[in-house]
Formats: sequence, structure tokens, C-alpha cells
Amino acid sequence: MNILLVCASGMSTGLLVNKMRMEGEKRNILNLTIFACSVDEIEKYISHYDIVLVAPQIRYKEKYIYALASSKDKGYAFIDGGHYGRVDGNKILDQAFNLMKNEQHF
Amino acid sequence: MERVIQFLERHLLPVAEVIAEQRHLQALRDGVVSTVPLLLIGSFFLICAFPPISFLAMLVDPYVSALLTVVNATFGIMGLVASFSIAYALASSYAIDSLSSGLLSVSAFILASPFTKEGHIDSGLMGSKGLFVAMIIGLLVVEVQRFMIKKNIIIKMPEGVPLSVGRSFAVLLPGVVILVSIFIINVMLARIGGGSIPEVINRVVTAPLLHLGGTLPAVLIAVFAIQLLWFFGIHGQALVGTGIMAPIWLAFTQQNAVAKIAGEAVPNIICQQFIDAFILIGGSGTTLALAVLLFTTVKSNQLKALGKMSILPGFFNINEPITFGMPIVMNPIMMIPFIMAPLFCVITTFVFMASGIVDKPYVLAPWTTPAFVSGFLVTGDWKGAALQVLNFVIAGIIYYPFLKIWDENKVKEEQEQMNAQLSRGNKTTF
Repeated sequence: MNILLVCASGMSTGLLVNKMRMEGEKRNILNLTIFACSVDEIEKYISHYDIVLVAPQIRYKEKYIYALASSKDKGYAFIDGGHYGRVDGNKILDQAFNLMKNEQHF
Repeated sequence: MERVIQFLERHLLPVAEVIAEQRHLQALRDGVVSTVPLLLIGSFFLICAFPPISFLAMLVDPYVSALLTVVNATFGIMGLVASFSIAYALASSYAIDSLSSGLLSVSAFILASPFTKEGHIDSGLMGSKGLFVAMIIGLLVVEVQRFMIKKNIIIKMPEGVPLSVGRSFAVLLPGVVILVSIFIINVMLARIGGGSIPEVINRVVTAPLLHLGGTLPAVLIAVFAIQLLWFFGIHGQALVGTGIMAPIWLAFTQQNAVAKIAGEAVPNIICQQFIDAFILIGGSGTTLALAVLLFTTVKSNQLKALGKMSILPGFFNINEPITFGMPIVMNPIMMIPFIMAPLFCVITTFVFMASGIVDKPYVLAPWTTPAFVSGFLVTGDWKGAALQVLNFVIAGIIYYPFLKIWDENKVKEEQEQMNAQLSRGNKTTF
């Protein structure tokens, strides 16, 4: 699964990338690619990823992200503030898998 | 209090959305911010040319003018570069051919900037003096193009002429209209002796805007807005700092660098570095002090864990673990120091620089440069680092009592949870 993480400059989601990778290794998930970028770069990267997880502090960009994600047929979700603050790789990886599952139903 | 918070939350997000989505503001931001990598490279050579250690300064003395050519090719052409990138960004948002818009805008920008008597490009107008000219021309060029495309204004060819001939003229038409209009304005301004287009724009737009944006109240308002937005969990720095203030702050940054090169006194206290290096110590809210306090003084397990997690990112001015993990977002107790600390730091920094005790910044460093290093780098003055220490301590003093209250709350909460678990455990065993 390929996950794109997005925040204002790709810095704070960068903290999350390692945590989620570690969690993925713990669960023995193969083929897990996680990448963090800034919201200005999302157009460049979105095609290569299955789903997009967005940091809560840029929820004012939702309209833009919604339009882009639906035009590329990708699922997206905002990360819960509490999970984000604790850099909780476990919970956020769960969220990614749930999002992926929901996408496949449609 | 709760009502006020609810009211603000309901009304702030739509405003934030409008600001973030407004395409002209967005194009200005993207266009101006795209010059930052050049300014950072220029800054590296600026430090090499004027190293803050006198022994090194003596060593590089013979090479100063050679080193400054790089500064001229980066800081010196900020306006020229922006004239391209602003039009490029706006055209992309309209899905107009962005490369041709960018190139046309450069041409229009050069045409609007009068050459010297010897027939050379006036390099003075290519930097921050040209920045607001570039902003206005960049937006206008694309709007004219868009208008003409939308109204389908094309040259009709007589029948028998291949269609593509007409189309190839249609592409040229907006360019002709734009360049001819600027040419006519140039001629008219020269006739009435009103100066040049950059002179008029700088007198009518730039001077008042920079005058307002460079005042202490303007910075206090901007920082207050950034903090208030963060309290609601919205990235205030991206929205207000970069989104609205960046063109003004970066223009001041450029002026400072240019003055340094020319051997003049560095003019502006307020600039991008003022915010990046002296206010955002640890991230929005001057939270490095809070991260250190979390790391060293708290009793609650939850906050101890947060301290461990937030201290390293804090040194690189990234603080989302604190804002969302503590949390500060929607937390009325922590909101008070979160707003007060950076405002106090604005005032101390302004006072120390205005009184000449600490040198004004002229080097631009990446915003992720750790505090205490960045203060020295951007000012070339060890007192710059000392001022950062002072701001760090002030922020710590402001945060401490509120952190204590929050810590006690958390300890109580954790004890209650433990008691609840214990009593449940007792019930099952007995």
C-alpha cells in the first residue's frame, strides 16, 4: 500500500513517516510505502499513491484536496488531532487501512 | 468564554478557506515564496563575504566582490524572478499555458522598467524595488490573457486560410495587447513627467504597504492572528505568515541584504528572519521553552512522554506534537501563554534591535535552523544568539505557571483512571 501524508510543508508529517514504517514492520506488512510532502506539492505526487492522509492543521485546504483526490479517484482523510499530536503510528496506520478498505468497496 | 470560542471557530475556518483558496493571493504567495531557495543560496555567499568573525573576514577580504556576484544574481533579481513565477502560478491555476504567461510577464516587467541612459537594464529595479511591480504585472498579464481567451477575441481569417494560421495569431494577440499597453503607458508617463511605471507603483502601492507592514503594531497583529488560528488547529503561519505577509517580509529581507552589500546600514528590523529566528523559536508560539519544560519538570506520565517526543523536533522549530499532543489546540488554559509568549518576544526583539544593542538581520537562514545558531547566523552578531536565549527564557517564564496547572490536571486525571482500574480489578478478583 502506498500512503501519501500531507501537511503545510511536509515537516511535521515527516515525523510520522518513520513511526508508521516502524509500525508496519512490526505488523509484517510488506510493500508499504509512506511519503510526506507539502500541500503545494500534492499534485506532483498523488498519482503514485493509493490514499492521502492529511494533517489536521491544513483542514482549510479541504476543498482543494477533495477536488484533487476525487479527480484522481483517490481516497483521502484528515488525521485526528490527538493521534497526530502523539505521532501515533499505530492508530494512523489503522486509519490508513480502514480508508483503503472503504475505497475498495466502491 | 466558551461561546466566544465556538463563535470564532465557526467563523474562522470559512475565512481561512477563502484566504487559502483566493487564487490571486495564492499566486502572489507561491510566486514570491519560490524565490526563497535563491535567497538562501545568496545568503550562504553573503555569510562567506561578510563572515562574523574578524579573522575570517580578513581572509576573505580580497574575494568579497567576487562572492557578491552570487548575491547579486540571487537577491538582486528577486523581482525579475517573481515576475515570472507569479504569472506562472496564476496561469497554472487557470489552466492557461503557464510557460508562455511567465515569459510574457518577464518581457512586460522589463518593458515597464526603464533602462539606464547607457541603454542597460537598471539592476536596481530587478530586486525588491521591482517586487511589487512584478506582482502587479504578473497578475495583470494573466488576467488579460484569460479575458481574451474567455471572450474568444481572435483575429478572423478570410476563408481559405488554414485554421491553424488564425490560432497561431490568437496566441500572440494577448501578448501584443499587453506589451503595447505598457509601451503606451511608458510614453504617456514620460510626456506628463510622471516618472516610470515602477516609480508610480512604488509610490502608490509599495511605499504605503511596506510602511504599514514594517511597523510594530502590524507584526503584533500578524503574530496574534497566527497564534489565534493555531489555537483553533489551523496552520496560522502558513496562512497568515507565508500566505499574506511573506511578500512584505521578504522584500524587507532583500533590502537588508542589498544594504549590507552596498556597505550601508541595514535598514529594517521587521523582515522574514525577525519572525523565523526570533519569534518562532521552537515553532509557532515560541514553544521550544515549553518543550524543554515538558522534558524536565512535569509529573504526569502523558506530558513526560510528550516532552521526550517534542524536544528534538522543537530544536528544528517543528512543534505539532505539542500543539496537537498537549494539546494547545482548543485548550483555553494553554491558549493564554501560547498567544502571550510570541507577542512578548516580538516586543523584546523589536526594542533590542531598534536601540541598536543587537544588529538587524541581513542573512536569510532556513526556518528549520535551530535556535541559538540562527540568531547568530542571520545577524552576524553574537548578541543575536543572546537575544534568542532571552526570548527563550521569557517564553519559559510565561509558559511555566500554565504548564503547572495543566500538569496537575493531567496527574489528577491519570490517578482517577488508575483508581477506576484498581477498583474494577478488585471487583473481579473478589
